[in-house]
Parts: sequence; C-alpha cells; structure tokens
Amino acid sequence: MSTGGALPLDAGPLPVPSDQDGDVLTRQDRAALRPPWRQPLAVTGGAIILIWALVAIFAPELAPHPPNLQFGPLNAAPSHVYLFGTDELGRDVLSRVLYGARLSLPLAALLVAVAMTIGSVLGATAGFFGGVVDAVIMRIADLVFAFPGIILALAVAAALGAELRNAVLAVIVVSWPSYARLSRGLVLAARSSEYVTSARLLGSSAWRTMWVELRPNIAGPIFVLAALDVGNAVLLLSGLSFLGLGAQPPTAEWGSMVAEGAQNFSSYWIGLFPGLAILTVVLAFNFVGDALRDMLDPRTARMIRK
Amino acid sequence: MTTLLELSELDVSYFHRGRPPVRAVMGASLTVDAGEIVGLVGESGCGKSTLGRAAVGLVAPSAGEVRYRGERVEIVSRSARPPRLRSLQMVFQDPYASLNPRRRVGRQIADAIRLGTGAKLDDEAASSRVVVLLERVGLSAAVAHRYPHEFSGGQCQRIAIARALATEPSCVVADEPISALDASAQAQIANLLAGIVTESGLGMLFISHDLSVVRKIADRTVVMYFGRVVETGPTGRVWAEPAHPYTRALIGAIPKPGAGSALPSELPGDVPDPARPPTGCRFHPRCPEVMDRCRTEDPVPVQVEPGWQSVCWRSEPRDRTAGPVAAQ
Amino acid sequence: MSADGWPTGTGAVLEVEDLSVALRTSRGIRRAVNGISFSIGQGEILGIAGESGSGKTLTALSLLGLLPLGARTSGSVRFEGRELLGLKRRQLRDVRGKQVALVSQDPATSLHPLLRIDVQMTEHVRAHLGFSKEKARERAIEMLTAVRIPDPESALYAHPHQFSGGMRQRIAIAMALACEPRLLVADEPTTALDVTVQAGILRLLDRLRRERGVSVMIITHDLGVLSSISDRICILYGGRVAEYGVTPDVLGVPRHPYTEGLMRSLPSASASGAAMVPIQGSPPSLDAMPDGCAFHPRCEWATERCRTVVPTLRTLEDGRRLACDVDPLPAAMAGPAPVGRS
Repeated sequence: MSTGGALPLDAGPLPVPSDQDGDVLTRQDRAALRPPWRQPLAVTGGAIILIWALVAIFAPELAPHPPNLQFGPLNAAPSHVYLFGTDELGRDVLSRVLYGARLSLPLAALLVAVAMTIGSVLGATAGFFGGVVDAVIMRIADLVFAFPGIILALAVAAALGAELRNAVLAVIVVSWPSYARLSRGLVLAARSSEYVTSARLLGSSAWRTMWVELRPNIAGPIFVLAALDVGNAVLLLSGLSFLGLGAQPPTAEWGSMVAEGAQNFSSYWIGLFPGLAILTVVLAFNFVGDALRDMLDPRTARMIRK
Repeated sequence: MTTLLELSELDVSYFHRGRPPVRAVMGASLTVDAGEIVGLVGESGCGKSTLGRAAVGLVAPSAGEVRYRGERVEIVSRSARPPRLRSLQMVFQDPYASLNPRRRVGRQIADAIRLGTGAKLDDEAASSRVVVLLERVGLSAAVAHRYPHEFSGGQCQRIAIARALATEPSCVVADEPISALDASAQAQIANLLAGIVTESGLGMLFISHDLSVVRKIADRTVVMYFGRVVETGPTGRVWAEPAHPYTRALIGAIPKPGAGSALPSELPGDVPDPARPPTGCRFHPRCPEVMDRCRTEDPVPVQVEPGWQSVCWRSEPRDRTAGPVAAQ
Repeated sequence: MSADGWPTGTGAVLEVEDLSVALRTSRGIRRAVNGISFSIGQGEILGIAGESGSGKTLTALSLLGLLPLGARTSGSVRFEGRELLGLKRRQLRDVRGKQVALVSQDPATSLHPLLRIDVQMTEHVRAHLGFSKEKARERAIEMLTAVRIPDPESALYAHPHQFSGGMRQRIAIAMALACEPRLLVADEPTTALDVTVQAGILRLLDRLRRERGVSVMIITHDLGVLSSISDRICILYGGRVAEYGVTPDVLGVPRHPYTEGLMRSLPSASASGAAMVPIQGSPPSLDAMPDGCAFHPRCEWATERCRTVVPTLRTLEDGRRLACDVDPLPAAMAGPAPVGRS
C-alpha cells in the first residue's frame, strides 16, 4: 500500500519556487562520480601507457629494422616502406622511435620511483621530528627549488659528464624536493590527529608510527604526484638529451632525435615523430594522474566508493 | 580498593611568548580506583580535557604529580611508551578521528593487542582475539575487514573501545566518549562502558559535559570549574544535595524532560578570561552566595562527609543524622 | 481556533498543512518530509523534535525558502494567511528576515566573522525597514539590551570572535529580532552551548515571547529543552508526524512508541541508578525508509499491520494527534505519568 518514500508517478506538477532548478548533483559532480574506468580521459591515458609499455617490451619484434643501422636512403620522406621516413644518416625513424620507448619509459619510471622514495622519506622525517632535522632537510630542498629544474639538471649533468646515466641522476636530484615538501605537509597535518596519538598511547614508537600509521594516509597524494611527474621526467630527460647531455649518439633516444630534427628542419619527420611520442606519453601520464587525484579527493572519493 | 590513578595537586599551564601563562588546571587532585567510574564534569574551559590528557601522559604537568599504580606517569616522547603504562588507555571524543581511516579495523585492533600486551601472536591467533574483542563490544566478526568510514559513529566508537580493551587495560580515561554521537548511540555507548567496568573491574575516568549521563553511570563525581576541582563526592549524594554553589547551579540549569517541568535556572555572567583569573575563589564573580572572604582568599577543600569534599568557604561538614534532607 | 483549541485560520501565525519535501538523491527521488501538518499561534512556542533524518531541518528551511537546489515541495505553508510555497524570490525576501527570522545552531556561521557587530545588525534593518543610520543604531542597542549583552554600546564596535559562544548566540537572536518578526525559527539554538549558557538562552527566548508576542518554533533533538520551554510539541520520525500535542501531555504521557522510547532513553528522565534504555537500532536514512510505519523495525509493539500500512494521524480524546495504529495502546503507555518520571 505505501510506497515507502518514492514520489508517485501521478502526483501531478508540484509548485516549484522560482529560484530552484536542476538537480542536487550538478553535471560536473556526476561526471566526476563515475569510476575511473568510465572516464574517457583516464581510459585514454591508461591505454596509451599500456601501448607504449608493450612497444617498449616488444620493440625488437616490432621494429622493422635495427635502430642504429645506417642502411637506407638519406632523409627519405615517410612512405609505405619507411613509415616514419629515414633520418640524415639513413636510419629508420620508426624503428628508432620504437626503440626509444625502451629508454625513456623505464628510465623515467625508475627515476621517479627513486626520487619519490628519497623525497618522501626525507620529508616525512622532517615533518615528524621537526626541529633541527626539519630545518636542515627543508633548507636543502629550498635550495634545489630555487633553481629552475632544467637549469639545475643541466648543471648537474654537465658536472658529472655527458652520459645518460648522469642525466637520470640529475633529474632525480631536481625532482626529490617536491616529494619532500608534499610528504612533510601531509605528515604535519596527520601528526596531530588522534589516531596517531592513539598509536603512541598503545606503545608504538615514533618510527613505527610513521611507517605503519602515517604511510597509508600519505601514500595516495604522493603516488598522484609521482604519476604526474613521470611525464615531467620524460620531458626533462629528453630535454637533457636534446641539449647533448643525456643520451649520446648513436643511442636512439627521443630527445636527441628531436635535436637531430631541429638540425634537419626541412626533413620534418625526423623531429616530428619522436616529438609526438614524447607528447603522447606525457599527456597520458597527466590524464592518469588527474584521474588518480580525483579518486583521492575526499568528496568524490566517498561518492565513488558508495 | 586499589588506587590505580592518582593526580595530586596537578597544575597544567600553557605558556605563550609575551603573554601571561594560562593555567588550564590548578591544584587538581583526584583518584580512580579499580572497578569504579569517576565522572569528571564541567563546562567549556574548565580544564577537564587537559586534565584527562595529563593523566595519560600526553601533556606535561607544570606542577604536581600523576601516578599510575604508584609510579609516575611519563610523558609520551620519541621512544615507545613503556610497557607498564600501556595498560593505561584513552578513548577519544571523535571516533572517526581516533581510528586510522586507511587501515582495516581488524589490523588496528590486532596491532593494539601486540603492542599493548607484548604478546607475540601469529596472524591466526591475533584474529581470533580480535573477534573476541569485537564481540565484547557488541560487533560481529565481519567488522574486522572493513574500514572505519563504513561505520556509523556509534559503531566506530565501539571499535575504538575494543582497541583500548585490546591492551587489557587496568584504567581507561574516556574523554567525552559520547558527545559526538547522536542520541540513540549515546545511551548505548554509555551503557557499554558501564558494563565493561562492572565485568572487568577496570577503573574509568569518564569525562563529560553532560551531567545527566555522568549521574547515571559514575560512582563518584568530580566537578571542575575554570581549572579547579570544586567538588568531589559520591554521585548520588552530590546530585541530591550539592555542596558547592557551582554544582548547584549546574544541576539547576539542566532542563528535565517530562510533564510540567519549569524553565532551567540560569547562571549569569561568563567564564572569566583565563589570562586574568579572578582573585580569591575563582567562582566568586558569579556565585549567588558570595561573601567578602571569597573575593580575597582561595577556599580550601572541606570534607562534607567521608569521601565527599567541597572547595567553598560556605561548605561545612555535614552530620547526616541531623535534620531532614532538602528535597531536590 | 479549531474545535480542539488549536490555532487555525486567522488565529495562527503559521499554518503548515500536508507539507512534503522531495529530494533527488543519488538513488532517486525520496520524500524527506512526508505530509506533515502543524500550526503555531501568536506568542506560542512550538517544539519540533526529532533525530537525524526526521526531516526537522528541512521543514524549517522550507518555511524560509532555503531548501537546497532540486528540492520539490508540495502542500501548504501559510504565514499569517499568506502562502509561502511558490513565492517568487522578491516576495520571499520580503518575508524572510523581516517577518520570519532564523537562528541557527552555530553562531559562528550566522555571524559574519569579519564585520563589526553594528554593521551586521544595522544592515538588514535598514534594508527591510528603511531606517536611517541613527535609527538603526538605536534599534541595535535596544535589541542588544533586550538580550542582556553587557555594555551594548561597546559591543557594537566589537567583532564576533571577541564574544563567547553564548554571547554570540544572544547576538544572533538580537539580529533575528531586530526587524520585529512575527515568527522566530530556532534550529538547534542551544545544542552547541554549555548547559548553564543554554539555560540563559532558553529563559531569554521565553521572556522575549512574553514581552514581544513573537512566536517561536524550536527545532531540536533535546526533549529536555522542549519540555521546559515549548507549549506544544510535534515529534517527527522518518519525515512524518508521530505525535503532536500539548507538551505536558505528550512528554508526560507519551502515546507513540517512539516518544515513549525517547523518554526512556534519556538519562535525565529518570532517577539516578535507573538505567537508560536506548531504543534499539538507529533512525532510518532517506534511502532506506521502511515500508508501512517508519518506526516499526524498532518498535516493541509493532504488529503485522504496522509493517505494511502507514498509520494516519488521528485525534485522541485529549486533543493530541497520534500516528500509530497499535490499538489498544499498551498498558505501559496508557494512563497518567508515574511520579518518578519528571
């Protein structure tokens, strides 16, 4: 007999005060509420990353030619034989782009992982213990922040020597402070929360509290930063290679390929395709990072979880 | 009766640069024995929460002592809290804040068991103990796999209580444990805590601004005003014939539901500025029975009856055999 | 006046009839307020009692046209004979603040933290009543005196944060009454305050309605507060009226199982030593409203009929309205209140 709360269908029009309209949930809210696998940008980003990952793994099988083999016609425009054309030394651009994924992706992921670990541990320590420890760590971080990333990376890479490995180190040096600052802020906020106090009362030591209680609460935003940072890392690495401080010839790295393209401007395909590769990877990680961040935003996260 | 927790002449002051120190707690003394619930009541700014935190070692006393089982309570520092203190636990006001939002409930309770009792348990043994604890607070075993945000306020507070019980505590300080809950849950949790004290014989300091609940479950009541303990005594007696004017005002201000209840009596004035406390008795500016002496001299505790003290110049020892008791 | 002596028609300041408020939730349209009716006479204090999910706050908001976007209303809300539902924005502005004023739970949110008291208090008086600056200032001092703020002239030049919670709530009441509204809606006005401060506010509200004839609608879950101050009381549960009548009747001799359960669960209701008996379970959420009588899952006396049929509001011999089909009423509830109750 009773409908337990739903408006009956034949209720007829209800008088609506004139300043009310639309739904309680705006369209943007509802868009954000869809789980990540139903959000077009996140899906696209994920797909692109997956494709590149596969390319990186299977490059030897996929590439029609060895990347460094100078065999073909010089500066040949893209054709059905050479899909991306050839460069000024007769190497197949397509193969080089495919092999380039084997460098850029794993190196970028690796260096972000290292920077994230170092940075977040230092930042958490600074935030949790405060005092001198905090001051020392954060002043060093501030020092690094004072320089534009690429400049500092340049300086470090140049000081260490022009090698891909040193470029990676340089980018790590430049990247860790962001994680430190973020994790310090998160730890500061969480440090005075009552679950931390409870843990201390139960007998948890300071280090144990940080690792067991705080880590799950700060991991989320840090991973989001890392996801967004991979794109940055790819850019920085490519930039250093572009400037001659990273991958050395004849290594097929996207950044150095773009540099070659800059020198052979009329043969646009030499620089265009590696540039597009960088672009798609960076965009993909940005999309995924944004979706992760939305997932973590307490308001939308709670609604998604329901 | 074993005395578990003993606070003697406790002072807790907060110091700010350039400003006079704020004495949040002044000369407070109270005890908690095994098997009893001591209700600590007072309004905003009376220092009861500060006192509760000092009792477990979260806040350092500026003067006086806190002793647990006869030994001084150390302040929580960088190192882990000494094992002997882990049987002195606390239940907080906001259950969602006192549980880690990103860890499963069962893991948090299991941690408490291992840390609190020092027992080296494998996962299976820990799980079964967790289930026992959950059932003791009225929750099912399935709760263990979930996260705090999946529960209501009342259920979360039960989980927090289970976690405190995991250390096999002898003494629990409950700081406003029901204030953040809605009406149905308040009664349930208050009854749960009272039941736990009865069956396990632990001692509890129950801090609350809600005098009515304290009246229900506390064996003894301690009333605080503006940092001082003004009255301590058996709950029923204090409620029936309050000795201190502030206690009388507090009880008179409670609206009583039912047929034909009158408007509650008000206590004019405001709590004074903590940086500029009144001279003499701290309550004198608002006291309806103020005398000249109250303005200049700080009253000392008077024993009204055995086990019942009032800090007021007008209080006198009462002879129970003399005269009729005033109806309340 | 209606036959049972209750305010209707021209005698009523506010008359709510069959009010429903439907919200669109993430799971569809639900009625948060479902056909409630009550009235308030001049100079009368009506208490609206309920826990979370009872619909009490939405009821208050609907009087002032402050419902969230997407809420749909039906029924009638008549203020001094004039229909409020469906009013255009400009017409609502004429009513809101000037004739119907709101005091909410947290004075920290109803008072602007950055503006001086005199600015806040004079602003809407000048807007609604067209007062000059001097006249508005006089009115502000008059109201601050009426709510017993010490030294009103200096208080005007202060900011909200310089006052305690109780003082801020008094200022909020002063602001609400500045335009001399006929109806004051107070939503949990003392919940956040200490008990002695609460006593002061309750006495203030009572005095103001006696001196100025303003009607007050107090919404709270605290039956103690309503018991001491309200003339009549309306108990809400699950968006509907459970019991509605003169306060000493309803709280002294509850007839609805929910009212009875509430009274039994209050610590202050019985002598120390007697246990509080909480109502088992918890109030239903909007998404999970039970069929039939919303209270039946928690009700000791529920019958088969209660599970399927929504009880209609009927009038009892003593004039109160009751929405419960359990008949005859259980012995525990019928009859005068035992002495120990209050």
